Amino acid sequence: MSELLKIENLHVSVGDKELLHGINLTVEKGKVHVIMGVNGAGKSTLMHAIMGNPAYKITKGRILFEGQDITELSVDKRAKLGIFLSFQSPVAVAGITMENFIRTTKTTVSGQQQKVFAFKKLLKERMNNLSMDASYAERYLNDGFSGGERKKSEILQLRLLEPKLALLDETDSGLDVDAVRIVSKNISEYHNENNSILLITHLNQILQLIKPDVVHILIDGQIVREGGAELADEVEQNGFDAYRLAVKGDGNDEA
Amino acid sequence: MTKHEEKKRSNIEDVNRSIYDIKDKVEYSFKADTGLTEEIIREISSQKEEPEWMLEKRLAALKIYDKLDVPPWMPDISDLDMSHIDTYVRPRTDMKGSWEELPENIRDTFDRLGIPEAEKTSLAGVGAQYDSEVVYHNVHEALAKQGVIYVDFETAVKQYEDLVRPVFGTLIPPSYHKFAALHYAAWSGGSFVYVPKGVEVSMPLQSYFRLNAPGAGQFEHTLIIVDEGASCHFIEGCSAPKYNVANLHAGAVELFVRKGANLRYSTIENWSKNMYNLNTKRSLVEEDGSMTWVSGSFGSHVSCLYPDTVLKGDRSKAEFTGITFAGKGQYLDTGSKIECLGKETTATVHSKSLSKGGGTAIYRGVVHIGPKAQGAKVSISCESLMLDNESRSDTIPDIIIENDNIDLGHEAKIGRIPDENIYYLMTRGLSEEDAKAMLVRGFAEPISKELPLEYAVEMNKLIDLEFEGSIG
Amino acid sequence: MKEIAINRLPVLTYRYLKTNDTKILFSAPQVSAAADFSDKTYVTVGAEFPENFEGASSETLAAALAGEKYTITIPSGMQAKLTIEIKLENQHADYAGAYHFLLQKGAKLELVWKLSGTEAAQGSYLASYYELEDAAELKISKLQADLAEATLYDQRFFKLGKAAKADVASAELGGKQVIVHSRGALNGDEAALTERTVYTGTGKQHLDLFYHIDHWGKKTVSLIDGKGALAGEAKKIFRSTLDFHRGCAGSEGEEGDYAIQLSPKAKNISLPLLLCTEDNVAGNHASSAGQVSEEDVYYLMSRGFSWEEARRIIVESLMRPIVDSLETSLQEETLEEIRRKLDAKGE
Repeated sequence: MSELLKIENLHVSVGDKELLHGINLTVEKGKVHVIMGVNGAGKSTLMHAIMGNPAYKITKGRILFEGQDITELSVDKRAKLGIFLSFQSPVAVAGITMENFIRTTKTTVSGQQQKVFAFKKLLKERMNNLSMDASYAERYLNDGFSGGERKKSEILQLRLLEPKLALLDETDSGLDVDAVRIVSKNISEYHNENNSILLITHLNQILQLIKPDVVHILIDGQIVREGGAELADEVEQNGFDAYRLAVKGDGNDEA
Repeated sequence: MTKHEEKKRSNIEDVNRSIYDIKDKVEYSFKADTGLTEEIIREISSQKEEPEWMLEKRLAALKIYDKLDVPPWMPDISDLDMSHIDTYVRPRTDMKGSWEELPENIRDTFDRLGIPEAEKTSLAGVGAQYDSEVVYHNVHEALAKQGVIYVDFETAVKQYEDLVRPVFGTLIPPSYHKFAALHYAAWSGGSFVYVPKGVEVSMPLQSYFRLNAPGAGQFEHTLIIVDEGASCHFIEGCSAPKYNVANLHAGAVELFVRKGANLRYSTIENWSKNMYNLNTKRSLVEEDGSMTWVSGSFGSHVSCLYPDTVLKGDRSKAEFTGITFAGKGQYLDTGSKIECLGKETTATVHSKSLSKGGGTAIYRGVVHIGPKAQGAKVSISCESLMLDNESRSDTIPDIIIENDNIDLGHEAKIGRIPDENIYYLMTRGLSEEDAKAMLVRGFAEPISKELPLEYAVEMNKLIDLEFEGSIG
Repeated sequence: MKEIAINRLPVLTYRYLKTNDTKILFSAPQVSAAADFSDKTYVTVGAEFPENFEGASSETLAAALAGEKYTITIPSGMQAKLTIEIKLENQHADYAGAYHFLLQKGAKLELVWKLSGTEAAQGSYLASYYELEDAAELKISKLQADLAEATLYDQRFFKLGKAAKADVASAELGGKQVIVHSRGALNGDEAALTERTVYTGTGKQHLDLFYHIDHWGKKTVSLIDGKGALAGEAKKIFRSTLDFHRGCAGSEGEEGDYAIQLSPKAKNISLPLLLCTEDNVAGNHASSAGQVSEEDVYYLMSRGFSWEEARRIIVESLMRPIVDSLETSLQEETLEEIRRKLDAKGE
């Protein structure tokens, strides 16, 4: 079975408002998928629904991960299955050092006790790859970090937790050109034929560095177009308006 | 005579207390009548063979005690019947200079608490009080040679009268409040520290207070003088096993920080949950002196504790870092008082509290900037975390400013752990309970990092246990 | 004249500081002035008051209840504007009055209180009970100025139903002793109450401000915001309490007190209480006190303002957001009065 993630007719609401109206999406093992769309289209909602954020209610449809229905599974169990979400705005947690935090999560997710010195060494190496100063390991998680540093902290966690599915929610936003390159390089190094990436981005720079296999265009809570890498170039040239019309034309058909 | 109890408890809530809860057989060589009368006070004084001036102080304090009422703002202490408090319980041993000489049961108690071990590795001196009397006292020879005095308070009254008498009861007068008066009438045990001019005591001195007898009172007096330019770190630890009758702790701590001196006073209080902890602490800081408080309140049934710093000298400084964790059946009313009297004085207060399982945590504070404290700077932050929907958390600050050249900031926050933080940690694979425990440890971290290591470890264990206990 | 205790804290603290309540000399009102209504459409004579309306003290509440009594009923769905003006002068040195405002479901009222008068004025004893039914909206703007020798009691009690909103902006500029006692009960879900005050203490003015908001309903919102300057030998006591009761899940409350000290003899006392028995809330408090920042003064002086002007601009900018939330017709007058008071060198 090469299907890692399969989303079937997913409807998601926050409060009384439905934000996703029947999403179908399949991510195969070893592939890079990109979701593009304007602000408010529902891209982050989809990420959080896959991760299991309790604030996002699934009213219809289901999510399968490696063939297992995870629609009702709690967030931590999904993480243990190998799903990782890099947050668009990661939370700061005062009082817990980054090193301690990542070691604890690595122990939890892998089910294996992390040896202090071996872990320290690995952490240092990974931080070095991300051009993060070693002193950050001793700082409180994301506390007082700039936007860019928080994004790097997310990718650092990605590299150390090595999930099967990486959900990257605008990991490139708020980064300068050099940082986008460093982060992209780390994502590429993480990626192999056994894991998959689902990426949200507004920018093309990251897509030059991480070649997508499939591009989805999400508008008003629906996926309106799918295609290969060339679709990203098309969007770059034409903008999203053309696809928006497509939504209106289609009406609100449910699958 | 109270029956000897030896029941071990094993439910989750009490697990973390197991070492403290092992009770020793209650043995007395002398026990005064219950309640507080002039006769008892005279008896205590004669047992101690103390000088006449001290007896006079005790009797004067008793008169004040009888006159004063219980402050109306205090937590309910109606279960505490003073006529049933055994004010004086004398353990069957004289003070010793080595642990080996102590009776086995008392030595075992302190062994279990890890005190002799800590003395070997990381402390410059240790005092251990068992019920009303100090049973062990020792200070490193090198320090003694430099003139550092660290003795039990009875010895201090007799041997260092010239140092003790002029200041004893001046910072916390018996009229301070009813329980201060009680303290001065019935005080017993405690420590006296004198650090001579310019001497820096690099390793901490530690006093450990252990209340073993049921229905007893502990009224130790601690007096520390850090002379000009000297510095010292003093650690105070308290515990008691749990009995069904109320115990009372009404100690007094008077701290004198002279010109340019530094004193750090750390307290970890883990009294059992039948304890009424009505303790009074006050520090007087002179020019360029600096006072640091680190205070952890975890135990007791009712606590009233508000360390008070009087910044008398110009440019004197105070820093207070405190955490209070109120669980089931606990009413912990704690806080801090800052009095800026001198010019350009500065004070920082960080207070955190947690309440859970129906417990009540109250922050009660005072900042008073006097008319002459030009250039005073005070910053206060109070954070209260509610861990469930059965508990209570109140913040009651009182800020009084009497001059214009000041800078004051006060912030307080009440709420629970934000859902998005729990979610974030869960996306990294932590269960909800683990995520909460981690966030609470993080909340407490700025304080626990100020604590001696073994206490910080103890505190984290306590937090974890509270969360394990909450599952299901 | 007798000594009474007013504005007692809902939970007490240390006695030696003498801040649990304020002791003042009280005398009952004598010759009462009459209030002037801009519109009497909804006004009837006589009023009922709830038992739990406590006022600043039993004596001061009784004094108000012994005066004029009116009920203002805004019927369901109606919108109304009303100005009530009280002038205290030689023949009418006192005012006593009790008002019950009933805003029925969805009703809206914009209410303006104006209190003014000469140095002959002795005292004003007001009690107003604001009862807001579901989705009712009330906006109060209050300006009191002058009245240099008077003692002014303003006692308010708000009861808010579901999604009801009350927004109070007041400028406490006049009076010798100013006593405000405001209590709000956010009973209905999503009810919201805002209490904002600017004050300028000069000379020997005494301001005794008390605000207490109880969160009972779910997702209720409160704000207590005091901003002012203290000059001369003025004294201000700010007692504010946010009480989150068990069951008020999702509620948010904020209280703040910011005073600029303009004189070494001014006294500034603040007791911002947060009481809480519900975990799902966000309660915040921030208070600060100090002088105007040297850096700000420097910046303004580099733009050509004198030191005094710069200081005045800074003080004004602190108060401006609250002044701007007053009803338009009061704004200019309020600003002028603030400037006049701060320029008068009451220090």
